[in-house]
Amino acid sequence: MTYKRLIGTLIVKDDFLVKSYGFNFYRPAGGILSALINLDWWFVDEIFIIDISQKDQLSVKLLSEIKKSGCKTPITYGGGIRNSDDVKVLLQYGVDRVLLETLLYSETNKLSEIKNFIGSQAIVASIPIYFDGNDYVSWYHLSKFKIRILFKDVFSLIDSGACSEYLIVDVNNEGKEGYFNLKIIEEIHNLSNLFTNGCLFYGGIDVNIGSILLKESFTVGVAYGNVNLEKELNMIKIRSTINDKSSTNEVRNLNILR
Amino acid sequence: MKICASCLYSNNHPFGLNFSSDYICTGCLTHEEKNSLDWELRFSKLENLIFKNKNSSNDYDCIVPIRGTPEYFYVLDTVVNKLGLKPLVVMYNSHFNSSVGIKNIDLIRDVFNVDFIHYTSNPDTYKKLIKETLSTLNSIRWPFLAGETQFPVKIAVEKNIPLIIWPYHQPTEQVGLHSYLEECEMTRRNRIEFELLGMEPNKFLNVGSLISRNDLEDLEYPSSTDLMFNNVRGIYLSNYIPWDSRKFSEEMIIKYRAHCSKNIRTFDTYDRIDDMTYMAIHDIIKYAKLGYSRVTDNLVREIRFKRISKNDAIGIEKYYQSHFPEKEVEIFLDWLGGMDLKGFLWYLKNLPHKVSIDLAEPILLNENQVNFINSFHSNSEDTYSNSSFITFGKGLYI
Repeated sequence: MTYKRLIGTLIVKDDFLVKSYGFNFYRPAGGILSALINLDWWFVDEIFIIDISQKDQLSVKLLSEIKKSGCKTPITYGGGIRNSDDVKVLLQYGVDRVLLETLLYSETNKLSEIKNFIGSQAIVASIPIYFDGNDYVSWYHLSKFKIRILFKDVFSLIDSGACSEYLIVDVNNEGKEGYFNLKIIEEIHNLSNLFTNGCLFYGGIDVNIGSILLKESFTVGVAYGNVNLEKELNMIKIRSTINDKSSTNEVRNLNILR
Repeated sequence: MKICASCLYSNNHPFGLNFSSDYICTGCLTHEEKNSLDWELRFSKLENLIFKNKNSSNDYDCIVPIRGTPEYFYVLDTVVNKLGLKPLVVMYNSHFNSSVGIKNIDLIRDVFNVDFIHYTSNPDTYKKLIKETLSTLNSIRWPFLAGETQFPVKIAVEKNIPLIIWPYHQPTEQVGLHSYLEECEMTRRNRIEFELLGMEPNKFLNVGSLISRNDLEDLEYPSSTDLMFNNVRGIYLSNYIPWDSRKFSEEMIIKYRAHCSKNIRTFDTYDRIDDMTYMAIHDIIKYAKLGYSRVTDNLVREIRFKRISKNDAIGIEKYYQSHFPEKEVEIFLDWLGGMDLKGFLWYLKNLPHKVSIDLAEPILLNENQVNFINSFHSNSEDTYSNSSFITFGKGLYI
């Protein structure tokens, strides 16, 4: 059977790891290298590194740290990727897949170029979602502008063949462990006919919510962020708890630690 | 360089620092939680946590790592008298003990009637490690911190005492790494990143290094499997008690007659008085490396508790940073061997921030500043009154 994935997420701002809260408040969290090595030790299935610095080019310092880590876990990198040349550089530094957001909408020719170079199986579409009091909304990227659109309309604008998975991010609750808005799942159920790709979830997920999300047929993985920087062996304990709670073994079992 | 609008820290702090839109640093923002959280409720959370983790089959309820400063009396007072626990107290020898530090350790043993494990690593190996870390990391504290942060964990695994109680999480107190509500715990990554300057012990095993694998045995952290099997966790009291080092130290001086003494490079007579290198050579290197010193850390705490204004703090910071403790530096250099004061000054020149041994113009303090400094108690001989380090207490000098 195919196991669903437990993913460790690292948010990077100006070359430093940060703990992010709704992507508008950040606490320092030290260097990226020790965090990467830590997640590798914890046998996570994948690591997301999301650079939110919004700089004109990829950070060589950050990429060098990734390379230096010798991390064996597959790494997906997002933030500031502009074209297939950037993707080539990322591959050279040990990145396995890329996470795209802006290019999904505004520069689809570059998206095709990346897809032709790396293959759609290595592209994850990042879809931030937030509740504005009335609707679940996201952003449509047009050049440097972000335009508010309804979440249900996002999928008709994205070329589903250009990516293999969607990363659904609960922006309101990002950084708040245990607060992921499960109504997002209802929204997705209403749209399920539009879904050809699996979904990953990130933002405020704790072990209980992770268990709920993993039971959904469209879920292929859940991602944990800040909490990994707060508690020892966090991902190992989450994996063990999810396995104990579930009779269907959604996630890989680590017998070595049991 | 960004400087906090409220305190003295800038974004060159080695732990990292972020700012709000009005330039208040994450350390100051986190400190505000001390005024806004319901601390009675938080303490009851601590009691629940302790109750759940209590191991009735063991002679000890928890491990408490200590040092010889008044603050650690507060830790034990809380653990023994408020939480009703039977701790195993552990201490890793810094080799640089002051007589006031040794007196405090003796007093802790007497007043709390606790079992105690005191570990001293091989002095030759310790010296070798310091030579290595001084040249590679510009740190003389690394070997002590590496030992101090692994020894309690190793004892926890060996004796199956899963709960370790630490006083506070320094990066949270200084730069607001976590909210108190997040209840951060001791982690291997935290040890490497924030205590060991990102340097794992086994990284010293390279060509050209003085260090062999045997030298590092004392510093090896227990494996993930050991931690998982024994369910070891280390909690910080500061997540459940609004931590105030000064207030707690002063309470302990009154309650237990804990010893406190004058320091060279800071006004704080309670902080790091157990270690004869901390406010001397370590503080000089810290300034030369980072551009600020321990007095800055102490002043930031006082500003956040609104016990001093930022303007007065800036004057006091400059005053203490202008002191070069020549005699105390020489004691260390004699102990280490291989470098004299002239060599050390040459070494300092290669670090980014200039340290001057001669004071060009004396820095004068105003009345407010003098009164503030005098408000710190001193009831023992000066921290640096000895002419050599006390490796072992009870009068055995090496």
